[in-house]
Amino acid sequence: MTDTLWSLIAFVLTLAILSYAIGDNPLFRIALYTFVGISAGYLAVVLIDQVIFPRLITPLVNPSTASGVMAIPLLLSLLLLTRLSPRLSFLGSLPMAFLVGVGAAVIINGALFGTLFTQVRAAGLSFTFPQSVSSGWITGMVLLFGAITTLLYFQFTGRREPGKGIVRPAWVEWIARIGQGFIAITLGAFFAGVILASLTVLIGRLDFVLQFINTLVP
Amino acid sequence: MSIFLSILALVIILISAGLLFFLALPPKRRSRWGLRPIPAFSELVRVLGLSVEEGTRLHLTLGHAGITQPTSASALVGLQALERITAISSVSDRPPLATSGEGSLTLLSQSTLRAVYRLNNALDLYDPQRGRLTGVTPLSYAAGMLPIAYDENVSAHLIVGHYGLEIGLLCEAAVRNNAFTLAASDSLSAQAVLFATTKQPLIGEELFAIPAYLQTSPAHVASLRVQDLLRWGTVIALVLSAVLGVFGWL
Amino acid sequence: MVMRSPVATAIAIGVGLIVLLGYLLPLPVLDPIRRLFLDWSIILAAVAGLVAILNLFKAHWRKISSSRERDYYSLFFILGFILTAALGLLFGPTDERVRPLIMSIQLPVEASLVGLLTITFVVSAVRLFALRRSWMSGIFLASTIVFLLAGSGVFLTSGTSQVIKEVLAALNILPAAGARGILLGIALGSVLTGLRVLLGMDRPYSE
Repeated sequence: MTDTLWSLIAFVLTLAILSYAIGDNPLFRIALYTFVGISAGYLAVVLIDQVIFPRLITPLVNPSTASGVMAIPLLLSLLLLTRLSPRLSFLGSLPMAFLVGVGAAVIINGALFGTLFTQVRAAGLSFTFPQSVSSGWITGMVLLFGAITTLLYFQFTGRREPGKGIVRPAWVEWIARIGQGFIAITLGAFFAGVILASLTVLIGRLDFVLQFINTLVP
Repeated sequence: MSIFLSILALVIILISAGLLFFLALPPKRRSRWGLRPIPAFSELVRVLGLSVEEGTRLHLTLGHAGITQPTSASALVGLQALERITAISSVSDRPPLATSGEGSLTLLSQSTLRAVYRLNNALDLYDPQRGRLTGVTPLSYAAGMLPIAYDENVSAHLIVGHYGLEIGLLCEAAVRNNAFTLAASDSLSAQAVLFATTKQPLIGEELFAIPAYLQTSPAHVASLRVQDLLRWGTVIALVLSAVLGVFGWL
Repeated sequence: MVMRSPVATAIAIGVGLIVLLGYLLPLPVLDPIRRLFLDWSIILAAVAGLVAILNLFKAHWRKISSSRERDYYSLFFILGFILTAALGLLFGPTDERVRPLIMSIQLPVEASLVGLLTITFVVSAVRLFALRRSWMSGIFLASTIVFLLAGSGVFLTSGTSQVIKEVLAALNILPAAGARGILLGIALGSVLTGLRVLLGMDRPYSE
């Protein structure tokens, strides 16, 4: 009985959301607001239950751990809570500065080690044995050429030419044009992937709707 | 992580920082170099002016990457854009609205808005609700922006940050309301979606050019010039890597 | 120019440099500090999330209580929020009594929204030429169609000739090349964005 009730709720919400295909409507809005409220309420609970309690409160009340050190994040957390009051909110800039500082370091580390070094190395690996047969080399050359032309498409600086404004050298423009082609193909391929992914989910939802209707009709 | 890569990373960081400082200094004479025109930015400046004139609202959305995640660089760029846009349009009847899908980003958007109002001696006009969290999951964040697109007289959406395919919901709402959209993301799937659904998509690293083209500060222009220098370094590194690969030294 | 938030700027630069050097230099002193700072940042991000969620609740509360910009739909937000938060705090987020709210409300709505996007994407592809008439849009659409066909599996039948299969394999290299170029560029931009924060040029935290 309870399962049927929850299935009915899921069914109604699915139809309410899909009704947006026709246009914005009250049913869609109700489903939307309820969904945003439930997900926000759930995340609030998860944050308290799985981060704030075990990582901040428990070490503070447990004398066996280094409670002294935890006084700093506690203080920073209290300062963050001042953001709830418009008059005291300026105090919250200190913990935010801490977060931004950590974030900046994580960004640089991630960009250098996660992308830059990995991708540059991968460009060379296409040429190594056992792929170093002709088809492997062609693949490597296309990958290299595509990556370089794409990268050069973005070149922002150019020379100030009288009467022309800021222009890049003609050969850079040509390379950039080829890079633009690679970019269009890449984004098209990703768009196809996105369409196929969303289509799979849509089929799943329509299947659920049909199955639910079947359970109602004996 | 090898010592060689760590040293290389340190060298790249130190050279980039040095160049950034040097190029951000005011030039003694007019530079021969400048930034190539990108049509999307000219259109944005025009729309900004129109929005202030007509008293419609600008909506800037910053994505859902947490500020301590590697993907948050795009959101930091979005915050710089927010600062500039708020400075331009804070006198408007309807000041700009910033939304995000992550708590720390929301608080930073509020800080950015407050700082601009304080610098303009108009702190009494600042409303923290102009920096909003619209939802906490990627989809609830995108869904939470739909009422803004429909109900708050928004004439332009600036979409700058980390997204997935869910950003299509806002783009579709913008099309239905005939609003201008300028969009940039660091995610390839989102870029593909934005390319198909927005009037002015910025591709790839054009995202990082937004503050410079909005003339936020000389540091941002310098940053783009260093980016261009690093680009040529990367091209050389790619070729070198291929040569090393051919000889089997990789 | 007035120096904005000098203390906050010093914190951001100091903490950022310590964490970055902790990643780069194999010094035994730096690594535990880096880990500690990263742990603290998880706590602070959670508290920031909670503060922002409470702000969101306040915004919806204001919408149902204000006479000027009343939005009755906000009532559904409030009800959904209170119900989930109350049950979650009472029984825990993984409890059997909380799970149906996620399984039968959140997940179906999320899946339906993604499904809905299919229509948006197909319509967008059709109207792309009206939005932006350029050769890049043409290549984009052609690529979308080719990769849609390839991804749909129509060429995976046993009757497909070897030539077509090889052409498809070769075609897959093109987006990989473009993606590498785009990702490298984004990495360069990210490095400089992070550096501007560490040099105190960008201060989004200052009020």
